[in-house]
Amino acid sequence: MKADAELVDAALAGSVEAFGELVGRYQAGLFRFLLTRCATRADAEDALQDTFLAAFRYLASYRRRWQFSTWLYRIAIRNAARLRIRPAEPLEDLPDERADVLAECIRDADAGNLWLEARRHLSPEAQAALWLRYAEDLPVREVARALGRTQAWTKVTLLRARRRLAAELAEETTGCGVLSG
Amino acid sequence: MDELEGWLRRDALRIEAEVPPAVTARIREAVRREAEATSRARAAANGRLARAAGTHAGARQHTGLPLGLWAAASLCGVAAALAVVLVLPRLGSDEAARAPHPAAPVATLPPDLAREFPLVVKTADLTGPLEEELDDLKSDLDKARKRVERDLDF
Repeated sequence: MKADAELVDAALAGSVEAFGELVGRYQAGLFRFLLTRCATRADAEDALQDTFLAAFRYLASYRRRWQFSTWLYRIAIRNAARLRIRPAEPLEDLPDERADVLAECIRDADAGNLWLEARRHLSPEAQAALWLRYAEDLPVREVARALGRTQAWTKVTLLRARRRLAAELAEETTGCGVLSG
Repeated sequence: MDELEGWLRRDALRIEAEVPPAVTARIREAVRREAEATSRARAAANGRLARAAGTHAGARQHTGLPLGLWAAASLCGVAAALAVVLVLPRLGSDEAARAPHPAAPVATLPPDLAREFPLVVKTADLTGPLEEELDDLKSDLDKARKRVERDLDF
């Protein structure tokens, strides 16, 4: 399997196929992340497409000292934020899936899912930090880079987010035992 | 906390994130279109540059002036402008040095009144016109430099 750097070089030289390989490598992870941040599945799909298109367009500005996935997530976070601040649709036009797209995408939803709790109780930035650190296993340095924040801010945010989630988890466990599995 | 991190990892994997093939195809198509547009724009820019270079070469052939003449004329212009800027202020300062010192202000009030009404004397600012002249010369020098740069670009 070719390294990301080789594929980036090939894409910069004009190879659409090389970039297509990068798309195949990262689209599932990015899409999962975007589902936790976007209001609808269609929004997540649009954000995914915009992310890869922007990455291809500005590939020359990618700096090799960062992981390629960090750069992609940075673009994706911006795209998701742009979708979030667009004018709201009239209530009567809301599709049913907007109720909670994330809940629909979770296997065995009856057992509960911490990312639903994170979406409910954490800020989008804290949620993104948690995702990048624990779902994507990125080091704190890369998480900070993706969020455009300092490492100190990222560490503090991760700590607070974990504490908040643990508190919610404890409350629900003592309440009805939803997240005991 | 470690248990929580484990749950976060496990729950992330429980999110169904299979990208629909239509979306993948849409992304690849968008990227392909972008690549084509980029290469077209690059080719057009190269064509414009080549045409512009051809036009300038033709113009030079038409006038029949060698590049050395342009460079020599430009250097002469720069030297003349520098001479004007460097020599004129020095001449002005020599004249100022030769000019007699202004007479010391004479106290026109008797000493007892001068204590109550102190006489404040200010020197008049007579260097304004010279400074304006210097600004004009600098502006001329800038224009000459731009003209030279433009000529050298040919």
